[in-house]
Amino acid sequence: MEYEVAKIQEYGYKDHTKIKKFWNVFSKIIVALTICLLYISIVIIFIQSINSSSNASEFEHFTLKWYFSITSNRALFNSLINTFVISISATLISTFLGTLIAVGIFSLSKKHQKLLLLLNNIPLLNADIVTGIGLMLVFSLLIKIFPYFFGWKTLLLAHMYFTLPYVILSVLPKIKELDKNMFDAAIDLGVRPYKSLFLVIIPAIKAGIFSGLILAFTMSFDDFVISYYTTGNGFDTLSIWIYSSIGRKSLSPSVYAFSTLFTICSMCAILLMNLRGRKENKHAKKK
Amino acid sequence: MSRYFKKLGIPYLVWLFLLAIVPAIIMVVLSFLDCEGTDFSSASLTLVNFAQFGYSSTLIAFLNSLLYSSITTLICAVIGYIVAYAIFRSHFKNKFLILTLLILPMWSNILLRVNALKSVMEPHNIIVSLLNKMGINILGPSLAGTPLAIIIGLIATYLPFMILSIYTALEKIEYSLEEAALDLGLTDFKKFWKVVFPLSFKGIVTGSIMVFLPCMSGFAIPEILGQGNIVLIGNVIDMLFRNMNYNVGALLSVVILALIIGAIALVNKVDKEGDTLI
Amino acid sequence: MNKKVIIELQDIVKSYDDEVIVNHLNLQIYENEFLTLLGPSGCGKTTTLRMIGGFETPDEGRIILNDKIINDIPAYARPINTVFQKYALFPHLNVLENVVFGLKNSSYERKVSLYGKEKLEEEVLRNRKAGKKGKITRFEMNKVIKEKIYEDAKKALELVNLKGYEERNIDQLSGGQQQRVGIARAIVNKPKILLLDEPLSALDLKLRQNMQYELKEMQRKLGITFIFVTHDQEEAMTMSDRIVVMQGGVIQQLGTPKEIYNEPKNRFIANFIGESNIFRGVYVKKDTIKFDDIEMNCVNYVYEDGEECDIVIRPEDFDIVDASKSNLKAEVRTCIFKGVHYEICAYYKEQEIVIHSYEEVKPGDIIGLKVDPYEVSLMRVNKDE
Repeated sequence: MEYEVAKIQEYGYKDHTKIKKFWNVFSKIIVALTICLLYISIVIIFIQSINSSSNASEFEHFTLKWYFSITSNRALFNSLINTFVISISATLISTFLGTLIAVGIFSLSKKHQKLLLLLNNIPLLNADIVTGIGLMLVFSLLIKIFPYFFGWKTLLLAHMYFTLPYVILSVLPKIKELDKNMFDAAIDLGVRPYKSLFLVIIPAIKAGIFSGLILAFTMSFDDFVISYYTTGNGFDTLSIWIYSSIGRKSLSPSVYAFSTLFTICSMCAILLMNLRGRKENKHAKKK
Repeated sequence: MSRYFKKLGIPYLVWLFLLAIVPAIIMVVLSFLDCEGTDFSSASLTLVNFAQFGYSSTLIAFLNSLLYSSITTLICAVIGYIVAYAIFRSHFKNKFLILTLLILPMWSNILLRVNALKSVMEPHNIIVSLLNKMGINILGPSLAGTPLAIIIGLIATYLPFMILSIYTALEKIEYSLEEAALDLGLTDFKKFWKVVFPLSFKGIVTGSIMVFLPCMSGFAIPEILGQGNIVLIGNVIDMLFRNMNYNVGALLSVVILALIIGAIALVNKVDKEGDTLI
Repeated sequence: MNKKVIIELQDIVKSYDDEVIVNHLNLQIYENEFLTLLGPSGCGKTTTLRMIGGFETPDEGRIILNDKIINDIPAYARPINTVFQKYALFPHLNVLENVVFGLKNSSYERKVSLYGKEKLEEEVLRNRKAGKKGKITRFEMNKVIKEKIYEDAKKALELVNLKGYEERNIDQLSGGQQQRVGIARAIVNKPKILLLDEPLSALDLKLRQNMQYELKEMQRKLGITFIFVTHDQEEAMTMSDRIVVMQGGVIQQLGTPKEIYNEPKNRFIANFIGESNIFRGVYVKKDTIKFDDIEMNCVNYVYEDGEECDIVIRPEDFDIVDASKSNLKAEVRTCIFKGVHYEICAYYKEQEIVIHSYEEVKPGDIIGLKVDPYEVSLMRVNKDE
């Protein structure tokens, strides 16, 4: 038996395929423009890193010399080392403490939990300049007790201050998702509380801890304003060095070389992680 | 679990008190004082700092900040929503990868990026120079130093935050709700406005706050892209502190802080679980 | 009785990532019937339902609604509504707003055709102030439609026993109440077909049983076709006019609950629907079968003489007799009290036999078993298994 093909108009609707096609094209254009906007500076940085002239508006010829002079530019290299030391140590300490604090916050009563989370939002949402100045003010009150306080110590404390909330907010939802009985089961089997925390809870929330770690590192590594106010004389991070170099109009192209290298490395890391993730997915599917 | 680890939260309360609450108190106190830096020994109580609000330069800086950050937030919200929605709806298997690629530029130093952006906004820039070498003779736009340059710079810097928080909100919408809307006779267009948009609205609110606040208080981007032509409130505060005028600087910071407390209250109202914040 | 086909699935194939979920499925569904798609998870029943609803498009085959092919009609245009498994109620709307949602937001043309153009126009004219003349505007029509929609929504809420809950928020409702809102939200659109995707699976036992009767009653009252998906065979038995048992994307058996229970077509169905004892035997001649030298009688099966077949006997169909009075002797292993009856597990050689009986027996007893010929059902042996 042959049947007619139904038309959408018979059911009281219009044909919207044309609008949909328009939207498909339009949204793709917007996405493409956005990617251009976000990447144009990365591309410029790359071009400048292989430009033999240190004049930022003139392309002479291709060179790799800036890549080799990253380590020989003392001021840049020092600021890089400082940045890495501060970011990595602040990230690691914040990740460790933030995880424990998240467990602590989870254990609090609803009312206290809410209060602490509200306070936890302050470093996250506060303007960098207010945070930076506020920290500077508190630290400068302490300067009478610790005369050589400003420098890496204040910088580390400041970075911990604004990275901790990111770790806590990444970890806390994962703790909330946990099976409440898991911890009790460990206790029931005779494992002491803190040992159970590290043997049972931490492994179960490691995804949250990891994303907290990445976020904390991103924020710490890229920070300028807070570092600018809380560091002491002579202890420059990359951002501060760049800021003062831009001010003096003496930005060495080596920093472009470093930035390009760093971008390439992180891109590779992401792709690698992605490939590994896909493999694991396939394994999981087969099972 | 809650029995054992309550104490782990307490030190953090002290920490936040010392580093978040105490500075605010110091700032409020400073704004009523006249002193050298944080040297309270010669301090005297005064209201003279408030005269700063009478200066047209301060007011213009405030208005500029409000205007620039509002425009940036609005544009970011529109573009951010379109991009987040397009990614959300795309058939790519690996949306996480696309999102990471959108954030990837954030891992390059922000000042370096803004500086690079400034360089292409000048008539003679490196791209023009490259094109000239290939025989194409054009000039770049002379944008650097204009309000438009600052807005483009702010958008390029903060748009990823907007995209991410809208995307997070979109992803939390259960697909069955969209199916239910279709099932009940809503066309895709109506489904979007009646179900998807209202349910992702809190993503726009959090995203807007994450764009608006740093735009409002930042000083590096306007300084580099505005080339000193345009002064925002962040630049004023920075200048005051650099000139050791802590009292007036603290007063203006308190104003910003008040704005931020308002924003936190708003976030708490719209997004009770705080789940779109990061 | 000549029943009219409302929707027909012809040779439907659907696969995901090279995995065939629905395999050349053919099914005719009649007007005003309660049809259940029954099967274990992953058997393709939900996918079939989603294709009818328009949420998936079949790779091959045709879906025919009222003699028209609707493969390419999107879900929103189909006169079919769904009650979702986890309710899928809109969290940003209250109960009443959820129920009116579909009617309010569907196209104007659809609303007009639903309520009838003449009737609406009549009402507009009746509502007009005296003396006002002129063409009936879209605005006036919409006003009347809106009134009607809210009226209908309130009626639908009454039908599902939720009168007085109109202003409640969704999160203030229990699971059972949310389910009722889901049903009201679907039926208020007056669909030709209502799809129900395991709607009761999240409810507790007592509530589930109540809802089963209510749904059946509702279907009778509304006079529309219900297509119900479940993995719970008891639920299917209670409510359905016809049951489609699916497994591996294929219809294993289609029939009334009685047919499916009493005459399972294969081992899968015999095991899936209720408990059964299955013996491999031989069809000796008409009305006579043999299982390991024990001859039994059956009725109404015509196979070839000497053909191998499976003999299905339900546990409650065995009668326990004295061991001397039957050829089928079994040794009792366990006897468990189940409330209404005892569940006896006995062994004939290596074959386990489950028997439901009102009498208690002791483990170790040798009992004789008898079956009435009409309670013996036979299944052809599937050579592929």
